[in-house]
Amino acid sequence: MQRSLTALLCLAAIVSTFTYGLAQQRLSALSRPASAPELLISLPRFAQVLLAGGDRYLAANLAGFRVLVADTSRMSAADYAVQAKLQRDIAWFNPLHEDNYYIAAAILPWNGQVDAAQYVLRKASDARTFDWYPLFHYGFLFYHFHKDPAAGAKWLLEAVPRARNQQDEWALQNLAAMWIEKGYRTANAAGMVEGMAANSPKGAFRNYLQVRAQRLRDLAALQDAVTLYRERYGKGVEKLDDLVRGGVIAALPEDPLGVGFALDASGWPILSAASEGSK
Amino acid sequence: MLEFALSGLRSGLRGRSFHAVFLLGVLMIGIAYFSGFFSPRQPQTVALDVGFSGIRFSLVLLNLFWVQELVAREIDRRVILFSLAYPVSRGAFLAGRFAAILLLSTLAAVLLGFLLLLAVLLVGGGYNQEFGLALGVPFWSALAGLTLDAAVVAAFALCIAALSTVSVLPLALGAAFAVAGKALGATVAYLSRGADGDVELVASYNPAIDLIRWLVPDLSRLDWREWAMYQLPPGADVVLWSVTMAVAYIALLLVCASLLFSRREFS
Repeated sequence: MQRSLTALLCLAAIVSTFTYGLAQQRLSALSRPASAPELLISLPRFAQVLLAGGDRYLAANLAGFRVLVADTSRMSAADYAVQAKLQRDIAWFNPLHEDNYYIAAAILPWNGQVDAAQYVLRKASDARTFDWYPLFHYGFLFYHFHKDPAAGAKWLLEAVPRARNQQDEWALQNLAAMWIEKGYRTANAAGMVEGMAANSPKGAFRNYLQVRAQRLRDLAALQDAVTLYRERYGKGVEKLDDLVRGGVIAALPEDPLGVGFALDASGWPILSAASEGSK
Repeated sequence: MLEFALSGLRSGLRGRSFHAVFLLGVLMIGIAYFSGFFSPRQPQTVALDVGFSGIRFSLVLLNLFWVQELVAREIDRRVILFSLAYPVSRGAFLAGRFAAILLLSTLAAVLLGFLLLLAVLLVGGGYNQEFGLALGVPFWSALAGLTLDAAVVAAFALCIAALSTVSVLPLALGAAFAVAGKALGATVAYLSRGADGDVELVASYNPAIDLIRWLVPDLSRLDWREWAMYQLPPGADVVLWSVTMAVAYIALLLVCASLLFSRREFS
């Protein structure tokens, strides 16, 4: 009896091992569903607070980590819409959150989410009364994305009393004066994004900002080339290639994001709409 | 009463659940340390923020387990009959136990606080964030607020334990109370600002919230972490009235618990 029970158990062990091996083999042959988007869903604010045990600061941090670990190189327009929602939520849970307004300023408006960036920066400006950066970025939204240098300068001047040293105060006042005096210039915008990159710790985020700044530098170079072309030939360009054929530039710059540059109806170089949704 | 407090302290420190939850607290401080590395601009602030949330979670759990171990389980196992055989009131037993829990909770908060301080000072990998933290009085006052928050939860659980015949009920209802009390502030703020334009939501929930805010204290008022994190001190009146609210609510719950407990019959 005992011997047959042992034999039965051994048999069961062999059968289950074989079945397990077979199932594993079959499973490995089956393809997995395509990987989920970077940011699939965002829960309602109530649900986020409840999941964080009622702690709105924790809810802000949990949503913040989701935003921080998302890979911008794999994100679609729908992902950016979810990121915008998440960042609005974080601004509501904890408007003082520094990373939130910084990332909102650096990523959202460049991907068609200007309104969300404006909301986050407005909240941060109101809450962080000791910090001039949110107002600076808020002003930059008006300068670069709404092409309204006067409104942008107004917000820069609002930021002046918050500056913690004379140098920052002067820099803000000078910039505001330049925006009002000279209007919008792509090269200025590039310089400001470069400044943001320089102030960020080393890593993917800084690289992202540097790429954005490089695109603006390239765009500024194209705009200068079109101005030169007009002066030289007395007419505008119909295609960007005309700049190369006319000998104004040696080659068209390669867009590091792979989206490219285009001409607007008046023949003026702009960033392609796919990466600059707000334009 | 002193005797009950001392025996409660001894049992609380020896309890297995205390050790387990305290370890959880230490783990949370570890998570806070690593969470700082996610932040590009304010690693120390994020570590401190997550650490405060972890300490609050651990303190509430510790308080609930202590109430369960020092009161609910004693009732369940009928061990309480030995305690009640002393010539003192039942209220003194509950007050002694609450004092023990308060002391244990303060001790745990101080220990976890020192760990969090260490984690915050070590995080960042040499990156100097522009806006510094306030790790002196503001840090310890934030911890005091969280300890008081957990004490309110403990008093509520004690009140439930005084009348409940099921030993896990104080734990379950106490946890629900802790979440509801903490979320109340965010809910009231959301509704008072128009719920993002959802008029129907405001109309249907406002009357209920108006009633609940009188029954459940707004525990988020005891959260003063912004002082330590952003050097924004809470208003003196906010601190005064939130502490008054919490202490009065604790007193009310302890009186209710004593009344219920003195009328309870143990078969």
